[in-house]
Amino acid sequence: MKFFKTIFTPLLAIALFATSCKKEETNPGTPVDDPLSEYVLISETPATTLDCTVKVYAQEALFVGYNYILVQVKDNATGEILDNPDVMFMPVMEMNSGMMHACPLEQPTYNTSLQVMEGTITFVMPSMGQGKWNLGLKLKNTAGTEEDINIDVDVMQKAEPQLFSFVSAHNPNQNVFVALVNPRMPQIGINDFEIVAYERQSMMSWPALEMLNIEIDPEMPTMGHGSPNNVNPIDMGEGHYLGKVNFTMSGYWKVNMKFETATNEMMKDDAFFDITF
Amino acid sequence: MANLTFSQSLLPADSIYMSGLLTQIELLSLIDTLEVSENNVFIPIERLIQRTEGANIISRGNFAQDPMLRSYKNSQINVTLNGMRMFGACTDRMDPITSYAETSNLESISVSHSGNADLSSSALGGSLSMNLKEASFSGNPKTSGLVGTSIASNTNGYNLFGQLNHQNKKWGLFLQVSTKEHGNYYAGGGKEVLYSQYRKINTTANFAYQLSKKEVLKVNFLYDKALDVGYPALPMDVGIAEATVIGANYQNFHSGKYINHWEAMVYYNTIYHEMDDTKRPDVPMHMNMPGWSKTFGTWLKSETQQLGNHKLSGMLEYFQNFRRAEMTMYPENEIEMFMLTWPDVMRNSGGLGLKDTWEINSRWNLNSSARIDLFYSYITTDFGQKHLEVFGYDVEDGIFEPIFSWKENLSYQLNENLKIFTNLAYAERSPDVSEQYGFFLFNAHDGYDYIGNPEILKEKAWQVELGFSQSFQKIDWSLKGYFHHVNNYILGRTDSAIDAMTIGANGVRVYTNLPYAILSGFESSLNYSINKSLTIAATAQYTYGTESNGEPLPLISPLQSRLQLSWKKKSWYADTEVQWANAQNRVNNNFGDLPTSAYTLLNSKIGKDWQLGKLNLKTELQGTNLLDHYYRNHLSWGQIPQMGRNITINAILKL
Repeated sequence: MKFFKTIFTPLLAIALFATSCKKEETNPGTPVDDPLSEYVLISETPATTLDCTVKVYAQEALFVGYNYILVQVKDNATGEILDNPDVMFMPVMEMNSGMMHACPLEQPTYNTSLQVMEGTITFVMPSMGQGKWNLGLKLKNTAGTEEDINIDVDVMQKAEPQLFSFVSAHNPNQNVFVALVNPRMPQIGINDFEIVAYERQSMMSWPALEMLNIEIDPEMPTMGHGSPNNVNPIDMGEGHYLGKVNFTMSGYWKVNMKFETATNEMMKDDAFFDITF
Repeated sequence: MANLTFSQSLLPADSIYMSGLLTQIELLSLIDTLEVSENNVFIPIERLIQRTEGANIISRGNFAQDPMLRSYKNSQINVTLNGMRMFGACTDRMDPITSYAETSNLESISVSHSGNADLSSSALGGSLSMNLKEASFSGNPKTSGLVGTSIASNTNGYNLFGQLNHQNKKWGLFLQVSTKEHGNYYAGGGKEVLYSQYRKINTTANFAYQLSKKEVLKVNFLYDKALDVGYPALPMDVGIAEATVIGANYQNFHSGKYINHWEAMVYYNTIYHEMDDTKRPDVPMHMNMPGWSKTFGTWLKSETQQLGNHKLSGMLEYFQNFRRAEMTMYPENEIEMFMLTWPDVMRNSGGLGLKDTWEINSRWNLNSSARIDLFYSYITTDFGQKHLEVFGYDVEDGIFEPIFSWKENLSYQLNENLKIFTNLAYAERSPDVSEQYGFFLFNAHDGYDYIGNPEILKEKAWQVELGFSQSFQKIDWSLKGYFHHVNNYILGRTDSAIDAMTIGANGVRVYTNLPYAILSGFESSLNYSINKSLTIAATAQYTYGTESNGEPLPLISPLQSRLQLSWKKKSWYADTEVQWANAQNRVNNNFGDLPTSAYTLLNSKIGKDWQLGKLNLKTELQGTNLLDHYYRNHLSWGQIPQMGRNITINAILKL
């Protein structure tokens, strides 16, 4: 069929005016100096003991939900960015009540092309008004010297929540936290639908929750219709569940979700994410 | 067929040209065979089409009715304007392209039936060609003008047009401007049909230049704009429907030893169509639904000299059509919702048609014709392609479809009076943009949202027709019967897994192929000249349509007939017509059909030509549905009644 496209394309060009509705936005390849320029710099902090500078980046301002966190460590002596530095996330929230708790996270791994350590932190609460988030990092150099770095960060609640929590109807002692991973940039048509599920076992222990059975059912509440050919998210390991969601038009969508245990006991049958685009 | 387009353009604007092969222009002879344009000029174009043999129209209101030929509709029939392809820009067929012409700017309408109806036909259900009035030449330079107006009682509306015609040896110019404005119409008994008003203007220009004794160059321009058009059968009206058409045509005559003439054309047309629901009360949510259709095309036609007892003609054609339609909804206090209903679809088509006219001997004639078209359709944007992903289709590669049609027409002159003919045709049709790529298109007739199916197969039909015509001194009559077996007939199939998009819709239907459908029927006509001033004309037509499972096909007319008595004496003329339609109880409820009762209508008119010095004035008083009968045509959507009694006063002044 490509053959026909090649034949017809010149003809198409002749009748150029016939295709005015076509929009193609191509950015001419401008060289990007800083590979991290598309990310938001969250903080730049000195590590005095290790004589390094630590820069923390994220895809956007930190929010309640699943955040990609990028950490770049630069040796102050040489000015070089370190390859595969030893970095661990240890985020802690200090609540106004004085209580402290951590949150779910995925420890960073090295991203060669960006020369950063890349991981995720799922903030479960906003900082504003309720307390202070400390994005704690533990750095270790090759000699084995460690340094803890405290970074106070603001975590906001998005207008459209990216995380919800519930107590399992099946097990009242189980607190479940679910965050939306994808779609980040929803569009009309088929979209990956990925969520991540964690359990709060204690204030400091937030393991991933695996083996759940999840059903999704997107709808446009304003119109009262849904969409066909959605794929229920399935367990991808480490709390991640991946499926497909179809949006037949842009606007306000509500993706309804049902959570069941591995043995099909109902945990929550009226959860949802709002997705507007 | 080909010779029609070749020759008619050189004839004076008001003469009727009828090729022996053509059964078309019935409309002209039915109403008044002599003063064609002036006698019909105030009849809306769709009503004229309806008067041709085997034709019907689907009404969604009082404007832009959708033509049907032997119960084939939409893209099953090939509709052209002066040989130019045009495609409506409305996903809901509110603008069949006949709605962008005007009766007053037409020279003629040609209708022919079944597959391979003419060289330019790439559909299986026949051809409808609207031929624009064109400029011509004259040895003595002359300039003439014409002004016509009509006032209608039922719609409290008017039509007005003016024409200017200049001819000289070297060049000719034809100009027309027309406007019309009609309010809501009233059904029989006086019931007002709300949202049935419309306004429209149309400008047509044609310039002809004689390049040499054997060569003519013509340039056509048409601009048409309808505003505030009501569609009582639909949930929405139309704010703007606007078309611009330009075309250039080169004709070469007496071209050589073998080639009699040839002709080439290049054209472009663009349509913008915008639905409008702002005037309707109780709209659940305001919507905006604009659509665009842009067509570029070119063709070459030629006809040979008489080569022994053969004559060959051919046509080579290319066109491309781009269509996009959008829907934006505006919920209160919420973000707007958007989608494409025609997701940026480009269709390309190249075709070659050939025809041989063979006079076997003085009694036998055989016309053989064949045409092949290569269609290639694709979605031009990623954004558009993503829409079809929703249903699991990968449409990145586009759809290629070869379309083939072939026809044999054999006729036998049994004796001076009796001629018998038979047609055998095989024809195919490519699925159209809506059938392949439509995205939640609401059909108000059955109340379902329709979704295209990129995997849908082309329709293929075998068509047989038999007929005869007998002519005597005062009477001639004809009877034709046909049987069409259409494989892969395209119809919607309910898919309950998909939610409807339109609020209040019954569900979703996906275009699908039936194993087959059958369309068969007959047409008959009779003309009787009682004496010099009295003529009787009668017609009858019937179609029977059935799906492969025995269910009736939706939207099939019952038996219809017409009897017309025409009188003419000196400058006076009059005619009276009775129209019948049987009840239609053979309906498909699944597709929104409801039984329709029989009805009888009485129409009449009387007119006179006045010669006032050099001026010629024609005045006419016309009444349709004189008995003010409340009735519904079976092909009307939404159970809307047709117009009640309408008295019009028409006048045409020739300068």
